[in-house]
Amino acid sequence: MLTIEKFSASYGPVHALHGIDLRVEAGEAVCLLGSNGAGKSTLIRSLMGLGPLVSGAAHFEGRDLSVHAVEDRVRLGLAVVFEGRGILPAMSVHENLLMGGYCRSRADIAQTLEQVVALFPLLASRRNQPAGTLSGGEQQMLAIARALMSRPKMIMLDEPSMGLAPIVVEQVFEAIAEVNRRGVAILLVEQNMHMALAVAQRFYVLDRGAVVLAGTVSDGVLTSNTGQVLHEDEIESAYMGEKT
Amino acid sequence: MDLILQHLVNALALSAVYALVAIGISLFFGVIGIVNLAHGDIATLGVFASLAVFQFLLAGGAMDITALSAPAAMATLAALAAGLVVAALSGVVFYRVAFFPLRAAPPIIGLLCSVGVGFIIRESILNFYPNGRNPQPFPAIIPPDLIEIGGVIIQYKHIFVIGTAVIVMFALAYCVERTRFGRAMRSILNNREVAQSLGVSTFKVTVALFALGSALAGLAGLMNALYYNLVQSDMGTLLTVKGFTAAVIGGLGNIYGALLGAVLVGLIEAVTAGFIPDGSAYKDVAVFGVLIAILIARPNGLLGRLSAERV
Repeated sequence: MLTIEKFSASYGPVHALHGIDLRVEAGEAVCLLGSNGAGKSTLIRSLMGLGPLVSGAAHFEGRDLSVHAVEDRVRLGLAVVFEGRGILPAMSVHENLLMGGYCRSRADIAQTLEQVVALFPLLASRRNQPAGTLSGGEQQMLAIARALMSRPKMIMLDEPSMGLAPIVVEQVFEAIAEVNRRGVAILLVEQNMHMALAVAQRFYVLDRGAVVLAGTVSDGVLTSNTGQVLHEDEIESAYMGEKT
Repeated sequence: MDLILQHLVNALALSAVYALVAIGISLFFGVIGIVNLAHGDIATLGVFASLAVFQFLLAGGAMDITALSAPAAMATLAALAAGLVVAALSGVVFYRVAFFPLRAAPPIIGLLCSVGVGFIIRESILNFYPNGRNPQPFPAIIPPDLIEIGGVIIQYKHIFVIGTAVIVMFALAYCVERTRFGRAMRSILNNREVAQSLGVSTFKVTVALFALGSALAGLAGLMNALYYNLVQSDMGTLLTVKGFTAAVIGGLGNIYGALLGAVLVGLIEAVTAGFIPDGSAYKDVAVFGVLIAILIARPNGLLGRLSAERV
């Protein structure tokens, strides 16, 4: 579904990503782990067309993303939940959701809205409240719900656990897992490795702009692409840049 | 008491004109981050387009524009529509040719550019419009009648100007609050990148906004022309200054702020002119004094931009 080949990005002379290869299949949940500054957010922003200069290729369902303007990528079936939520603070919860369906027809929006509100009932009771007055966890739920409004084939989430209390993080990840169970592919960028691995079927570890480790998760067992069974500590040290 | 009410009526007529200019300046700033100092001159362009149509239709005294006849009504509508359309189109062209190519440049460049465009418009009218160097009469199509309510004299043109502005404001509020275009525009004001990621074309929305805002400026210019029955090439400068002041007082980027600011500016002017001896000479001093006081107390204006985002 999403294929990234030799993807590089830089802020002026600073290379943020060097030659990343990554893929996400339809309906799959993939997490991208790495410490601060590893280039995770840069990758998401670049895929959405908001990032710095890029070389290499990114294809979504066989279509070259580089020829599509930012505002057209959502029409391809790509949605994003930004770091720090990215809600529209002065607009109401309902308006935020309507904006999620900006590219869809009126009838379509009404139908999707019903399903999304069923998944996040809390948002119905907050309908007319300015989104900026919601708590951090509620804002995160709203951001995920809004992404669903475009009926995406894939959602990219950038650090959904950031700044949230542990109990709220669990709710957010439960919501992400539920979205994935409904057939939406997930590309999850996270520092909270434990939570991310609980949702994902595959993982990549990014360190200083390059993929240093990749593998699969099945029933809590982590296996690297070279067939080695890994412990979470080993993954952590891979992205902390320590040799094990 | 009567005197106070009389000043209030006069003030509201001024406020109505300022508000229509202020809204464009405020929303343009919200969406492109640049104060458009040629906004009033765009209004002037519309007014002169309208004047040209009037002069063409009235050439040789063939028609009495104030007569209550179908041809006269058609001619009036055509002339006023021409003013709005020309203002809207020139706003769009202005954005596409001047602001859009400069979108990555620092805002000060765009600001300077708008000053330049203002000069071009004023000098063009001065040099190329027939008799453009002198103030020209604008057809007095509103009957000079008046009604008296409890000692307060209300002219038809007061009713026309205030009534038109109120109707337009309600339509605009509906457009901003309830339509897809309005939501798209507000989403850009909230967070440009997020709006784009949701599928909003910032270019299309900005073009539409320039068309709308410039048409409103054109309407303000026409109301001004119909109120004073006199137009001149630099009439837009005053509109820009007053509209800009109103927009800043209310808080740039906020349509209701622009409205509130315009009402305040009109009120302050009328009160200064009416109640202070020789006050009309000092009304601008009073307006800018209040502007400075408000900016000291509330640097983002009275209804400054909402930014309640939690991290």
